[in-house]
Amino acid sequence: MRDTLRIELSDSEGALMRLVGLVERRGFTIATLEKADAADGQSTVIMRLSARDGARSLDVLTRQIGRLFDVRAVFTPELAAAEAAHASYRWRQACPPRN
Amino acid sequence: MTALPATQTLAEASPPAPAKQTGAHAVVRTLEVLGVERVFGYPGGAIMPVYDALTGSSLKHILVRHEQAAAFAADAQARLTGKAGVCLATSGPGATNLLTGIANAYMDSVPMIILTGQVPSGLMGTDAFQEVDVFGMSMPVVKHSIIIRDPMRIPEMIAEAFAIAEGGRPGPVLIDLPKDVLQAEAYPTLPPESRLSAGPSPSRQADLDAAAALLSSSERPVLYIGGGVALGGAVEAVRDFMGRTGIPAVATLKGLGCAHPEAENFLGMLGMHGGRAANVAVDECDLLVCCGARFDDRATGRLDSFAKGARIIHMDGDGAEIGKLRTADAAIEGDIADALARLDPGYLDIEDWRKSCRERKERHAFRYDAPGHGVFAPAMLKQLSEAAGDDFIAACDVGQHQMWVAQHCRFSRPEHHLTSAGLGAMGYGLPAGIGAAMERPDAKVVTITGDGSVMMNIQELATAHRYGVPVRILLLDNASLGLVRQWQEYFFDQNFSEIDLYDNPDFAEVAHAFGIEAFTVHSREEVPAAIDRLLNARGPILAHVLIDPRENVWPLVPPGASNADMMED
Ligand SMILES: Cc1ncc(C[n+]2csc(CCOP(=O)(O)OP(=O)(O)O)c2C)c(N)n1
Repeated sequence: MRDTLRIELSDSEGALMRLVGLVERRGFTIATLEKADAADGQSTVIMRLSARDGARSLDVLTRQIGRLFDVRAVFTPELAAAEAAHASYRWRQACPPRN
Repeated sequence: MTALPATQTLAEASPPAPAKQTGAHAVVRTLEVLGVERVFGYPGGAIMPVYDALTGSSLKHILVRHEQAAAFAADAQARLTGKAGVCLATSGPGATNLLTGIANAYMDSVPMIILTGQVPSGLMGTDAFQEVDVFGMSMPVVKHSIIIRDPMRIPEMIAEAFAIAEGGRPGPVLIDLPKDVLQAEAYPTLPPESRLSAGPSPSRQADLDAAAALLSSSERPVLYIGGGVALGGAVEAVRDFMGRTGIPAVATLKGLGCAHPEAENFLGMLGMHGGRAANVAVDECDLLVCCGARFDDRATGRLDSFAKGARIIHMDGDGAEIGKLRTADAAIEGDIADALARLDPGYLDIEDWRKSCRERKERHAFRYDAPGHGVFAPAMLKQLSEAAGDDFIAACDVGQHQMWVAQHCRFSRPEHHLTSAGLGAMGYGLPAGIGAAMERPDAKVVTITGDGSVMMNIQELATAHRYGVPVRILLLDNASLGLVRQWQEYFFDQNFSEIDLYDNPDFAEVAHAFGIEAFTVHSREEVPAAIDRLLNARGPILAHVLIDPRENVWPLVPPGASNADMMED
């Protein structure tokens, strides 16, 4: 099953590499990834991903992503309509924003 | 770390600045202002501007003989102080030599700042001489990393790196410094105050109430203590909780020293080389209170049979650990010390359980009456740590000797047990002992190493000699890679492949060649005098102790087995 995450991250050097590397290392594969243009030094990444094996928890992954220093907040879609267009998602915060 | 008002300039806050202010000066002066006293490093091309700026600085630079040792020594200092250790190396090979040390700090959540020189910005990405992308290579093993591109931002970015390394769950932060940035003119202002919040927030009362309810209905609870207790400054809180509730407790390798060493309800280390009392208690418990531990496979054995009948309370300062490997019935995220102090289950009716745990602990206590006249390493280690007392600090290497230290030594504090736990990196012991003894010259710092491990960083005898570091080295020589040999004996049909170190050098002679006092111990009778001599030494000293190559570490949980299925001698 594919899940979708929306991640807000500061646009610092290596931030995307760090995010993608973590997701892969923690046992997930990324199907699609979209990064919006950075505004105010912050950008938004939306990725669809799936666990490589059944033992991996998306919930734990979101907290591991939330731990990254560049990451401001992590959201999961409120409606798990995985095939819907990103724009129609309503997002639920999965990791608190870092101030 | 000292926070200074953002309006002050570096020149106002520290000794007069040299005439020419470069990025490299900004690096050095920022470290001074942040309160760093010692850096471990090794020079080379790209980092030379920093070495140039070091002369005249109040920073004490310790010249190691391999960059890996710089990282290990900084790591040990950090474990002892809780403040980030600092190491320094050049680009390319200097940086790659640091990687094992960075990974070691990451796996054990040790605050560390790694400064690496880099080729000039314009050459980055062109495969220039001594260019490696250490920023990219180290990403999986750092808490964070930065490349400083603007010399004016050096103070601010270094200060932030310290705050990241030391805040929350600590870890290593790498700072890559392109040579042109180091050579550029810079008029640094002081590091601004960090925007990071200091510690973890207090746990939610509802979670504590849920945990207290689980505890009060439990008949056989066990406290499972991990490295997060020391990191969270919760040692006293754990001791108080153990005293208040009487709950039997076990510890991981990194959790040793948290419980009071003489606590009756402390059952010892659990896991692969844990004691029977600890492993059986976890196997039989109906509630496991995990406190800053992370269900690591060395501690749990087969995960699906670990504490299989038990409900789980999981407390951690790092919320990302909760539920990673085992679902928690009650999750308590936040400041562990605060959570333990507020966790009040009332009177627990567990006297029968406590008694059976205590009896098992007595029945299965380690025995030290091994036959023969040869040195019995477990007995020697026990005597050594008891003779050294509360000031005993062990810097271990990796192998059988490391497990014997964990099983048989007495630790008054968790930070006194310096061990490469998560990474298990041979070569840690000697540089870690040097870092620790420099930081705590009056303590009894002992590197405990094997004939395999010591050779991984033997060159650091030169560092110990140069700085007269009071590190005592106890080298347990079984003429083999003992832990590997033990596995081959039991799990690879005694096919002893490439573990024989019959042609080791005479280690006492090696130490002498480095100018270090050394002696060899052949028999059990010589042990008391050897311990005396080690502990009373003022400078570096090495005891080369010959032990029986057939000696093994017991008990042992075979790979893939449940902790209850321990093999014993
Ligand atoms: C850098 C590194 N290489 C290999 C290993 C695998 N390994 C673990 S223990 C061990 C043997 C250690 O031998 P020694 O230091 O003599 O200690 P002993 O087990 O004999 O006490 C080896 C090779 C390791 N942990 N670290």
